[in-house]
Amino acid sequence: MAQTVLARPESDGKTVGHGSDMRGVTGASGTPMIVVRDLRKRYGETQAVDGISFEVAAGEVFGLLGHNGAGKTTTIRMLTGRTKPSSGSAAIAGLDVVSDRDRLKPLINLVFEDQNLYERFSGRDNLRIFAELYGASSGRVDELLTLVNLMDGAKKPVKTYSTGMKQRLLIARALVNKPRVLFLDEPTRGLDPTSARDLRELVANLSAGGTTVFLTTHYMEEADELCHRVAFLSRGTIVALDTPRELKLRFGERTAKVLLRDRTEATIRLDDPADAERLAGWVRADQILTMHSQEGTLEDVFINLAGRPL
Amino acid sequence: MHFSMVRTIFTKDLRDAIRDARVLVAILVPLGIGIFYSFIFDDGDPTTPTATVVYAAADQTVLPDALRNAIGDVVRVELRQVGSAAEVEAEVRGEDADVGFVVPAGFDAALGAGERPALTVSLPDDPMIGAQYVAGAFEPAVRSMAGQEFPVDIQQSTAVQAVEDESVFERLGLRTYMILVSILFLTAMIAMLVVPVILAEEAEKKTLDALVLVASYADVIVGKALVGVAYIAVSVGIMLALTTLSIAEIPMFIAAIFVTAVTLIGLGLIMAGFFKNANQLNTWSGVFLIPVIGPAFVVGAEFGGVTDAVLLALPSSQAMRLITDAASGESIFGGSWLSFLVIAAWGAAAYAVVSWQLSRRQA
Repeated sequence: MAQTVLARPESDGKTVGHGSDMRGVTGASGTPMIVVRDLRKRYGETQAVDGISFEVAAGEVFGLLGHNGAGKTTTIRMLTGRTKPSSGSAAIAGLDVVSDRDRLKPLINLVFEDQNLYERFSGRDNLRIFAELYGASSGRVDELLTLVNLMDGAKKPVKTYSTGMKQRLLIARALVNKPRVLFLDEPTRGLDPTSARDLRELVANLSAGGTTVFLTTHYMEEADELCHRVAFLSRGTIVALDTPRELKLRFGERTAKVLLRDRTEATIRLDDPADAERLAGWVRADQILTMHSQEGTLEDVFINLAGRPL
Repeated sequence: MHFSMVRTIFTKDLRDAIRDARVLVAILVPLGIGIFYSFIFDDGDPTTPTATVVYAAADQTVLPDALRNAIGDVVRVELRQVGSAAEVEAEVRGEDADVGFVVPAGFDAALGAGERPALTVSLPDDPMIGAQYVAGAFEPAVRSMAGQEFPVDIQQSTAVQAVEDESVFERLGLRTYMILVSILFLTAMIAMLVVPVILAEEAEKKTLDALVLVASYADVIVGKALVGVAYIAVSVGIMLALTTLSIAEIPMFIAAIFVTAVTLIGLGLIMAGFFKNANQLNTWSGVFLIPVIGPAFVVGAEFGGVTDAVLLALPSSQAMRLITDAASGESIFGGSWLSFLVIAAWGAAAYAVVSWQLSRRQA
């Protein structure tokens, strides 16, 4: 399969939008692009988000991980101004997500979890509609079609597209306004490995170009590879937030995988004195054929913190 | 509200909706019904009896003219000459004619000479009222041909029904009335099925989430309402063109359709908020549409009491009253301002509920 999403998106720092007023926009190096303070959302008896606080720097890829119902989508809905928080505050580029919603709209965009495209329209028309809504030039449409390698199928109705093509079109749509902050809600769900890899490459390129990326995913390896920092969300609260390496070191188990001369395999927990003694015995008896040390995975960390796997 | 965004959403839906089979059917069905009504109904006075009369004459006769004079306009007569007495008999027996008569050779001359020539008149077993009247008109007809005075000078006066006592159907004509009902049906179908289906599909497929990331809910709602208004304007125009129905008071007709369209679209938008998807809405919309469209069919009838009061309070009844007056150019129902007021009140209430629904969605 051909490489599909390889082009590096431009990063001229300009956001497209209807008379976008850039007053209050921050996010230059050192200043947080996203600031969330004690954010809460209650639906009736359900506390969907329960007092989360974090900051995301400009150009950072930030991952929000959690089970279904943990509050990830509600958090994205609040940060993108589609749901009002019950209490607390959130600001993006210095603009409050509630009171400055109209000024914020040109600065952000979102790749939805669902492939919510106009199926009866062509790919080009889908992009053209949103280019018009954001006040982007018509040339932007062709730029994006080229970026996601959909120029050949641009005139075909979206209902004839494969899942991978639709996902690429969704990404192109989310880039139509050259957002300062791009939210991605489970962007690789249902994608084949090649398309998923291409998407990860695009995210890395966007981040390198200065775009702040806020990502939710179920795939721990993906978060580990892409995110500068991740937050684990459980029952509406953040139970851990740090770089993947630091989380693995703090909460993961250091292990070693041992192959013995009698061809049996064993996993040794290096922090467990009994396992360490067992290992020492094998060394003394010269029974070890191979041994590989392993740091903990994010999956392990998540299980340790949330009590069950994703 | 952002007008450029409303325009983009309006243009998108204008192009997209017509490709949806559900939308197409919702427009074509009432359009087809209106055209069908225009063919099967007639605007002529339905209370005047009719009769088809055939005759055979061996030579020139003025009897058909004398008969027509004797009948006057009491019966609408279609008078037709055939080739022979046998054909006259066959047509009456076959119920192709209501009355038949055979004029023998030299009939007019014999009558003028004071003779008593024979005249054969054929009637079916159970003649209709029109045929009976025609049969009775032969005597005055032949008397006049013979130069005889009728023995009695009957002074006939017609008790003309006062215009205001005539039913809507009599004043407007059944064809015109039924086409106007179809126009209201078409308006309601677009407002309360097409527009909600467009919005429900947008919510169901979550494209609405993508739209409100940049536009406001109000932009989306206004864009879709305008699509409904545009479809109604075009469809009603097509209906009028295909049925060749002429409208006497065009500005009033346009105003009535516009106000009705905007109000019913408001009700349609409320419906869209109740259903989870477009198919569910398509299935259950009839429950909402029937109470709205039904009164339009019976607005010409007088029930009296509570029923009339209820009809007066409904937007579709008032809309039908307005477009009836506009089409006829007469004040058949009157009270146009009250009608506009009732429809506008429904519209204001509908859009208040839509606003409440939007505020809940944003919360």
